[in-house]
Amino acid sequence: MPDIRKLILRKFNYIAGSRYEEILKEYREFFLSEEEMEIPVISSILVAFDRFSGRPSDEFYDVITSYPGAIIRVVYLIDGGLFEVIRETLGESVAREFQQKETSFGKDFLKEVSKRFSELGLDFTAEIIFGDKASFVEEAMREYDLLVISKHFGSEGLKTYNITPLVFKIIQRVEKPVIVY
Amino acid sequence: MRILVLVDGSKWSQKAALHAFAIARSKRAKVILFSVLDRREARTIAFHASVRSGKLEDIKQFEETLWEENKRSIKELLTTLLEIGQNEGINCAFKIVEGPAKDRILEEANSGKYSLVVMGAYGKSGKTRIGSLLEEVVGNIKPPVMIVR
Repeated sequence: MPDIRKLILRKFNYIAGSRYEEILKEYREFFLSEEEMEIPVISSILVAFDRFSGRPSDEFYDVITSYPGAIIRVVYLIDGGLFEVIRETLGESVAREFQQKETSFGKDFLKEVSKRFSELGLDFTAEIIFGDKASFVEEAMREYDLLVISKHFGSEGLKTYNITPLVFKIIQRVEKPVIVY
Repeated sequence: MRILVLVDGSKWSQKAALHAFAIARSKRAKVILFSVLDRREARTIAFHASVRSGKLEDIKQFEETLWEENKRSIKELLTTLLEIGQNEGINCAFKIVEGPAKDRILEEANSGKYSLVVMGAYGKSGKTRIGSLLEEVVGNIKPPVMIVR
């Protein structure tokens, strides 16, 4: 790769003259550092689904194949907090029924996604996770290079938002690239 | 596959271009570097700076200077990014349009020509908060959007 830093900063160097280094230091938040110029290799991807995610589009599958050789962890998340609320208010049996239905839905969803991933020759694992969705994704993303998530993740009905507040919260907190579809 | 990169001049948008080039290498995709120039930006800066400095009589000339500088500056950045992409053997081009950023971005991104849109998480104000443009557009863009940090 050519010296990108030099290419991008050459105009600034010309304008700032002898004060170039000093200004570069003081305003470094606006300039790409040498480390930032090196785009990290994406070798691991977390794909997070839930019941609101909807069926992934062909474009989703096209994008996911952009990183050949990457290890992909596919998770289907079920809201553990909601399970607790149901258990406390409607009782254990209703909560268990909710859990079974959600798990069944999740299994079918993952089966369909796994089939497509296998057809594409992707290296992946798929599992159902029961817990707090945002916390799980944020925590898990410490070990992955890229997050792929639906803009509908976390809630249904997007009358005021075309992207859910939960997805925005995740985008704000995850310090890695995120693909929202 | 065609990838649209939103370039606003910030370092985050430059990183977005580099990410797009990485994907383009893998997918043999075409990359379009896209910038929107909004005259209101130059107008706003010219007004407030002129009021503060007490030089309102020069405001029109100042606005024009800022506007021309914005155009020249973004074209230079896009040319540089284009050069980087082409040196990497990537099929890329750039496009500059004028008008309200949100409207022009949504028109282009949702034109049906792109499989992926890549943009920075932050804007020209730096890493203070998620860019306001991101909040405005990401939910309304039909293709998948890659947000780069």
